[in-house]
Amino acid sequence: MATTITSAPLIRPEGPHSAENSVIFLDHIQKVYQMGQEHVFALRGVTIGVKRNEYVAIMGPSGSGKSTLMNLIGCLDTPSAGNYFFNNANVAGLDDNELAEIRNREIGFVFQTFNLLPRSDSLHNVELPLVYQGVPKDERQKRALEALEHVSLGDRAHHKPNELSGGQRQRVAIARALVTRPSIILADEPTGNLDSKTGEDIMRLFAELHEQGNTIIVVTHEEEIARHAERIIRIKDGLVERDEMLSPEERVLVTPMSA
Amino acid sequence: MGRFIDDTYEGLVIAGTAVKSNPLRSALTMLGIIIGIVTVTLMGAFLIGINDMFKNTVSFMGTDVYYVDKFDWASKKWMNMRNRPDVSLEEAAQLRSKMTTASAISVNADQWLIQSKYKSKSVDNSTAVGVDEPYKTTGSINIERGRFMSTAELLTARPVCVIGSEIADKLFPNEDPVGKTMRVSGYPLEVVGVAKKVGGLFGVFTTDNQVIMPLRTFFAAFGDPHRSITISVKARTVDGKASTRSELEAMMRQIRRLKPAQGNNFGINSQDQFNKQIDALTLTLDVVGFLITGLSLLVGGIGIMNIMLVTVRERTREIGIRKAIGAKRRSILVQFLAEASMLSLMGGLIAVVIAFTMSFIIDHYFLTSGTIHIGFPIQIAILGIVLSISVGLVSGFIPAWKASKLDPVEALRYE
Repeated sequence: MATTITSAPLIRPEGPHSAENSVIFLDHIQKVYQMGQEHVFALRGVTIGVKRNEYVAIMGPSGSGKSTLMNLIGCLDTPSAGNYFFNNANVAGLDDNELAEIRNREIGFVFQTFNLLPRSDSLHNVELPLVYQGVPKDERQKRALEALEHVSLGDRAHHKPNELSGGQRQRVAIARALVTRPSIILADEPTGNLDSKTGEDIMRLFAELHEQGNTIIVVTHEEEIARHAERIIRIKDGLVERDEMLSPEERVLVTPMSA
Repeated sequence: MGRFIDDTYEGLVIAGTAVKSNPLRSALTMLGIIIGIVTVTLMGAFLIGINDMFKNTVSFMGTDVYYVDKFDWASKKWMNMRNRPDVSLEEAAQLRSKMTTASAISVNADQWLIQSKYKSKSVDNSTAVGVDEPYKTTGSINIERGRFMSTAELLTARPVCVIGSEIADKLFPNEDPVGKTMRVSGYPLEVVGVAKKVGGLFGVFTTDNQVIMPLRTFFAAFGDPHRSITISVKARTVDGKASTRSELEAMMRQIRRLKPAQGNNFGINSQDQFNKQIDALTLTLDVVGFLITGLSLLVGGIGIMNIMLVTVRERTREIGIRKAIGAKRRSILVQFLAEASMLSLMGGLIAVVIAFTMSFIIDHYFLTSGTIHIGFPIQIAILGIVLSISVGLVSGFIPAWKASKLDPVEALRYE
């Protein structure tokens, strides 16, 4: 099934930041909320490009617009102004169903609170994005099981979330994010609900996924977590405050988990 | 289509786990639907029973037989018809010689409110009926015991009779009436047969309280061969019965020398005219019956809607998750519609079983008079199931629509 993205108008901005080579490119994105009579600017013109196979952390204190930015990147919300290019196609003006399609095929979400369906087992949770893609059941289950094996949870396929530890739940969520082979993996405070040891395991898994060629965006307020990435984008008052590449010395390098 | 099936299947799986994890709530929700479907299906079964009873009432008339009588039976203006000329044996004889589209023409005379007696038992409201030989063709009597009167008996004034089931039950509660001699208005008649029970309303049109005897026996017992009689005309073919009716009407008008401007001073009665009235009456009953029982179904539907609204609220976060990972509006809509329909279909299935059992019990233990029977035909079961699914879809729609419209960002934030 063809996605709607390809039919969206192509506007390629020029300049140092360019939509070329970028998986996602946010071009002067603004987000304004109406609070009674007042307009509240959550984002005042953010321009960010992320290239394929980049590992990026987005940081910012609460109220910085970080969550709004993450919702926009995740196509959960639409900008008030500006363009958003996803694989070179502008998705800023798409409707609910078209956005759902992009979330389904192009974005793998990992949430702080895992957001697994409590009454479904791991396999079904991982299968779910494929259900909405219309993948036949046999193939769906095969791919879901592969994704679970990828995060070393092949033996927990028929456990429900409440039968799993926090780290295991987050790994199920990562398997769910991976199963559609998305363009980006978007993680929102992925270690926020985990102890530091388990959090470290999850970050090791992200490093491994990055090694394997995935594009990863982690939204966090923890410097320690952000330093796992190659690049940190700091958001403050609705603007990009700093966008820096980390040198290997600055990065927290973890040894990838080996099977 | 495949997507729709997947969405529906997903919805049913979710619904299944939801029902299991909340059995009491599900049961209470279903209870409303169960009551609604039970009342509607039982009412349906009852209405079919009423319809059958009406149809039984007119089954004494053949579908292809016309009855010439002084009165129009289905009319309410009996008083106006009292001064019409009597229908006579002479007229019957003329019809017999003139009509070409009739296969048989018989006459019968009757006398109401006759006392029938056997030993110490008596029935005061029986109807004596005298019939001639062609009545064997035009009449529609089913004999349960014994036999109908023979041609020889019908042609002579033999003192024999066939009695209706009600008279048989009352006069001969513990013995076989066949071969016994009873007295009809003091006149001794030997019972040769008992007619099968007809049921039906009022007892006016049924053979159940009749004593049927040869016409000449009747005149011997009750006198007055000039009384008004009824002439039964059976059409030659069922398909050609309309032309039989026209010929009959024309002949009667000719026999009575009516001028074109004059109306008929006789009635031509048939089952059709009663059926029309019965259909109009049962339609009214159907509408009223289903309106009233429909109210209980409405209450059940509101119950489903209420619980689905609660469910949508409780599962806001789940909806958010589903939307985040790519569920479109339609998928969410179908999911909740499937859940609502499954709840109410389960209620509907239970209700059909209950209603079936109840109709059986009512028929066997409460409707023992035999006037009306209720069964539980398959159409009623199908009606119950189709209705329950429809109620689920209709009452689930608003909650499902709300769910499908939820904003994923807010839904994910919902605690």
